[in-house]
Amino acid sequence: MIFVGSARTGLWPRALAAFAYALPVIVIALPLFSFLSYSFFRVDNGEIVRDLGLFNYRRFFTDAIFIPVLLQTCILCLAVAGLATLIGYPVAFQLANLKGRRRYFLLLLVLVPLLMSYIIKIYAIRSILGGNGFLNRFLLWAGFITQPSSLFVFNLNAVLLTLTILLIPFAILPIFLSLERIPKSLIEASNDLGATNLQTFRWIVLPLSLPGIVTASTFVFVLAIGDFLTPQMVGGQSGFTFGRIIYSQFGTAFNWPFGSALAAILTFVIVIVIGLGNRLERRWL
Amino acid sequence: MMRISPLATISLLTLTGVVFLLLYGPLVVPIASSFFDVAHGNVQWDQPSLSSYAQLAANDGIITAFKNTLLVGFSASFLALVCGTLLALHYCSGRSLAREAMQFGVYLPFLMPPIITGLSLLIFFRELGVPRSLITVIAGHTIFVQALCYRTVVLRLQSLGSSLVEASTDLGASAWQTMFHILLPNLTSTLIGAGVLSFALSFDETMITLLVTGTDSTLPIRLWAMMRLGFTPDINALVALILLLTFVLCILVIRQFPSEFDSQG
Amino acid sequence: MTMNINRRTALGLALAAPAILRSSRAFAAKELRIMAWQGYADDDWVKEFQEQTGSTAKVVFIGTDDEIWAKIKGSEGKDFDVFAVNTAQLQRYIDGKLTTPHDLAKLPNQKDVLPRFRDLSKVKGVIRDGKVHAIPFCFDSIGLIYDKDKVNPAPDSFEILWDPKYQGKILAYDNGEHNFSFTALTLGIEDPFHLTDEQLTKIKDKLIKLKQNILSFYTTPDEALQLYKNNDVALIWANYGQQQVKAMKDAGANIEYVNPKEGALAWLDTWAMTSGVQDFDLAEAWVNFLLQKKIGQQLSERTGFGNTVVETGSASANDKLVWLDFVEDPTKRSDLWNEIKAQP
Repeated sequence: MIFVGSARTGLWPRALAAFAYALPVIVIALPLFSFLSYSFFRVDNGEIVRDLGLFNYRRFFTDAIFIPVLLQTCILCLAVAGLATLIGYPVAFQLANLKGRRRYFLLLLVLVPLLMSYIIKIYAIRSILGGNGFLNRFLLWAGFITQPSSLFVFNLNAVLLTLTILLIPFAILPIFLSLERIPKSLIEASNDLGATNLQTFRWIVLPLSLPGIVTASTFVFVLAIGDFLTPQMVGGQSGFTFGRIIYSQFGTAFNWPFGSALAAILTFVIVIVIGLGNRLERRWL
Repeated sequence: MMRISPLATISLLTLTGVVFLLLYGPLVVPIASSFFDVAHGNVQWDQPSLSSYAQLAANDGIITAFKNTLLVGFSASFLALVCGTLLALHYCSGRSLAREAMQFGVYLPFLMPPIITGLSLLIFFRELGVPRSLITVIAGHTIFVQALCYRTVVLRLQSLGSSLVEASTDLGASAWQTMFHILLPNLTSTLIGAGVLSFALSFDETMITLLVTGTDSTLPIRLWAMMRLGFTPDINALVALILLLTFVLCILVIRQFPSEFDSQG
Repeated sequence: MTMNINRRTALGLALAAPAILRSSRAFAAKELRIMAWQGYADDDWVKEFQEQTGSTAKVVFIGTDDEIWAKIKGSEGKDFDVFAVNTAQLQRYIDGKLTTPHDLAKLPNQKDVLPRFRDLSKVKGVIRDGKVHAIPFCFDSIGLIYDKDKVNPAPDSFEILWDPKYQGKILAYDNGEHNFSFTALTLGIEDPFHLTDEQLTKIKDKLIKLKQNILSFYTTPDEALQLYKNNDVALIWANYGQQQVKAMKDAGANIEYVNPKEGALAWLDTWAMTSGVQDFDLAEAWVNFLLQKKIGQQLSERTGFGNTVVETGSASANDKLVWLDFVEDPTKRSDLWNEIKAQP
């Protein structure tokens, strides 16, 4: 796109192309694909046997636990993405509505918690939600409950809540950026033509911010599904996600072939979900 | 951006307030604890003191880890922005199957579970004889966050369209001039946004770092190790200081912009 | 005048520079890369070691057996010089040729360790083909922590973990191998480390019931403490034994520790050298350094673990200890454990 006309076949475009292909191939494709090739091997008595075959993939479909856990994990992460986007949109809208540099200041304030270590935040959230934690003590004091509730912690609700809190800033920023790009003239024109605020929002702002919404949900979905620590720490007996199954293959279980097959499957699922998201965006536009 | 009714404004402000509460709430206890004495993991709320800060100043390990984290964060974000932009420029300069394949390759490390990316890089570096150190950590982080930079730049380039570039070339500018005077200024806010997010992702990145780092530590690695015996009080002080530092940075950065600044004009 | 002196000084420095650089490089070449559990390589020990040997020591702390395996196997032993590992896990490293045998001649302090650790052929797992692959360092049992106010009378068996009276008040360590092993002991199975498929299935069913009785899993000692402080917890099966007891008692918890009557699993941690060790003598010097009486004393005082050089009261003579052994099939146990965790 930057090379137009006769410049398209010059030295620079070719150098750029060479770089653009060389870099991902050497640094990304080579290590990742050579590792993913492990998925066709198997493990025998603690050693990786390089016997090509699809047993790992077959096992994923035949063993009873993998598909349900994958499904449950996807639904959980879609819920996190949906919730984070739903909450993040109004906040991004409010920020975009501010005048002058106040909006960027508040935006930065939204992003600052991202630099507060994630491990510390999970610990803090877990203790707030716990039986003796702040939330329960507040509800007891306010008289909403008569004894500490275990509703908020060590179950999937806790995972949903925690992941959403951790990932909201990742939803707010892309939506904000896309809202900000909407030319003021379009909104003014819409008002001039007599549209109410709701109509302007529904027909101008919302559609134009759709790319931001899709980016936000995608980021949050991918970050949520790759997170195995949060479900482990706040999920209690029910916090078992697909990511943890993958993770466990790389410890003393030493089943790298199976682990890499599961990772390939997970990536495939993520790509499908993202693809569906893009389709939805195009249909709405 | 839009003039909205007072009711809508109040609801939005309330929601924004709640979200800020959710974002900063978990940090209140660690930060407040940093101003009190901690004995055996229990905060002594009746004994205010700055001992956590003193402990932090004496803790070379944590300070080195923090400096490493900053170094890795800035380097990886910078490299990811540069490479991501170059790759995005190539992607947007035509259509071909090879380009789609390249794009898939760029996204892959972000989509895969970090333990896979980390382990495959570890094996890769080992086979090539590259010693594990902060350099390999920077490489790992760059590969990870590059997808983010790449995607945001592609989206921005696509929304810019090619008319600006064509006009510029028609008026006689060379590719370099078009690049520096037309494209880059329009990419500024995107690059800054992507850079900030990349830095944040790298700052907290634990899994890939754990695997490819050898003996160097970053802050997430120290914290991960501390999960074993508990966070020492100086961590509370560190969290408080990081928060203060970023606040100050934000204020300084914002002051650079004129008060009526609007990136859209 | 000033100019001349400066130029002369500069010239002098320039001529001396290569010599300085060479000697500093030789100095820096003495580096020891240690992978250890927290508590095995305290800052003051490392500092003293560095001063004594004129080397730099870099310590990386890990939290689980999984991490040790991933990093050592992933780098084929090249990223570290010495690492701490228990005798059961040690077998896979020896099998994978990831260790270098020790030279006892370089470990004079090993001759002064407690009698039961002196003859290494009597210590299960450290010798293979006549070579010593690891030196014992510290040990502890995996017992039961109970809250004295909430659990009366004092329990004596892990069976209490299945008691519906304590539903939702129990913490379990998240590790398939150990969960299977101690459950095997409660079922009266003699060798919990070599289970048949039939036994594994029976244990799996029992473990599903355990899972439904617990509040949450934990992976680090501090995590168990935090969970205990923030929730109503009565029982914890303590993978880190005395280390957890000490941390909890220090934090004011009214708890007690008991080794179950059916037998408590016990682990023995050792120091092994990787196959990629860069400075053999320096690595041996580190192990020898840690075998000093004063280090052993401090280790026990700080963590509560038993050490190999000074007698401490970590387990009474009446307790039945079942030392960890390499299990029949780690992959299978891990898969079964995943299946247990996946049950709703």
